[in-house]
Amino acid sequence: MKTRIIKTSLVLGLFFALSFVHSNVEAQRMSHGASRQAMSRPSAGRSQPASRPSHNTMPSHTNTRQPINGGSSKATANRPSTNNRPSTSTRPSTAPDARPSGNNKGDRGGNLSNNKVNVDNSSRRGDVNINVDNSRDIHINNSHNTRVRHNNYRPYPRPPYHYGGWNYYCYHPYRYHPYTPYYWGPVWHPWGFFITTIAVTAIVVNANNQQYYYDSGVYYVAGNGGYTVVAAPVGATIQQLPEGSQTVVVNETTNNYYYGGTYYEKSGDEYTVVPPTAGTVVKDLPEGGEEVKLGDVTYVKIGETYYQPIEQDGENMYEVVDVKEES
Amino acid sequence: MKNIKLLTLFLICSQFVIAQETKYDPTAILLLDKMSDVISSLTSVSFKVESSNDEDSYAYGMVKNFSSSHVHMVGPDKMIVNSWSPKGHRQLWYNGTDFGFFDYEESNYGLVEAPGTIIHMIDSIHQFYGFEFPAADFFYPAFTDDLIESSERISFTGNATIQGKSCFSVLAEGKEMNIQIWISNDSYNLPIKYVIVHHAKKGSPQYEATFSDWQLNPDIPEGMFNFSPPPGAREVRLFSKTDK
Repeated sequence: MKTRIIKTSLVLGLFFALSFVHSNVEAQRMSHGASRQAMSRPSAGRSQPASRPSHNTMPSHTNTRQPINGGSSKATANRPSTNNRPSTSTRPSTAPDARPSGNNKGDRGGNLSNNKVNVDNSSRRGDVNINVDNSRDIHINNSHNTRVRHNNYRPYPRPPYHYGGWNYYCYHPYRYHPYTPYYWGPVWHPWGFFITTIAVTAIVVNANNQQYYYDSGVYYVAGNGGYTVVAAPVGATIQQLPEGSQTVVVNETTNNYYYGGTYYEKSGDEYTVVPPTAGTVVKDLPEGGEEVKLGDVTYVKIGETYYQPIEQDGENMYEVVDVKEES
Repeated sequence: MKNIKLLTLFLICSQFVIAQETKYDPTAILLLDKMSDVISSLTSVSFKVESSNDEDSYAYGMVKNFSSSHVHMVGPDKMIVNSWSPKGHRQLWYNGTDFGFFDYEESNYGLVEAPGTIIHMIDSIHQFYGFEFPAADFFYPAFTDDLIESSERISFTGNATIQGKSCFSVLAEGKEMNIQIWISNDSYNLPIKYVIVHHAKKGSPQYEATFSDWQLNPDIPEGMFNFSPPPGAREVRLFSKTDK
């Protein structure tokens, strides 16, 4: 008896689960499942001339203009067959064979992905605000150097900015100003910069089982007959901060030291490279970042760190953004 | 056991009763079809849209934001939208191969490749970059079917006068939202106004848009759709929602 009750309950549960499944695809403000089905069909009867006639006096637009949305499409086959439906005889007799012959809801995702183009556009990425020579074949796994540490000390007073399933938290309001990389002087170089000889003042530092050369706030790795600038390795320690380092406030109890896009934390008599901490405000950003538009806002992205342009005490500054996946 | 069988029978019957309650008023469907047919027969169009959108502001609760847009389209693959809102003046443009966004306040712009028709571009760009195109819903080729699919009931609710024009009023009621559309009572049957009430969301936020200055099949020079950045404008990368 108990088994039968459980079985009946399962059947009921499944029935209800299936009863309330509905499409939640929403483009613009309404859902457009039927239109997407129509859009995926070949546009019968709307063939373009193979080539444009080369007649100079051809009136503009004649015979070449097409409807703004490819023409009306009515999926009468899919419409509910209620008794009070309008008579289909009042509809224009436009290509009934072009209408969907059945319920193709399963194709919706495919339609979209078929129609989308290369939204990645990676070929363009290199053109935007980046002046780093990455042609050197140096592979250093220190990308985590720009992975932001969450700030767990101060709650954010404003809601995050939502985009693409992620929340972008900042303490300061967004205030755009153009990204202008700061020049830290002739001895500072951006990531990817290659030199054949290194200064005699350079010292060897080790971090994460990798040997680096450090000189005046810049980290290099040897290879290809020279030295290539890389992101400062987290965990590397130096005895003396580079000249021009600034103190930046991380929270009420902690300061970092900032130079050339690298963050240091004092540990005893040494300074250790640390990742940026969310909420930290800096005045200058190094070369090598790119401005990225996320819907309404433009951030500067350097490695994996997003910087929000802000204004503090009348000055243009940047705040390290805390990026968290929406739960 | 008998009770469970009875309960099952009752629930199945109730589902059918719910299904039979869906009603699509033939007058309303006819009006929507006529409106959609006129729009779909256009080879070019220009219009203006004044819209308001309720947003749940963290500091003030539900607030209304207003924007106005001027839209030009040439079928099947040219579009320009200029919008003015509290976020500033922005332009979306599309020339059949590329989609561009220009932010007049920040003086920056982004370009991405785009699908080959206006509707595919709108769908794709909205999905991957989140851009909204004012009143784009009406330009989908199967607008009436889209509305039927998302509504449990569509009714003709009578006549109204909007902006001095005699209009028909159609109401589509769905689980997530109600949509009321006012269609001009003339030979064109163009949309004049529509209101969306998201009754399933907290605070029932509304979106309202009013059309004006419809120009049907205007001769719009194609050169208008070729974007060239103003001097000093900076190119930024449009970050897709799928980018990491």
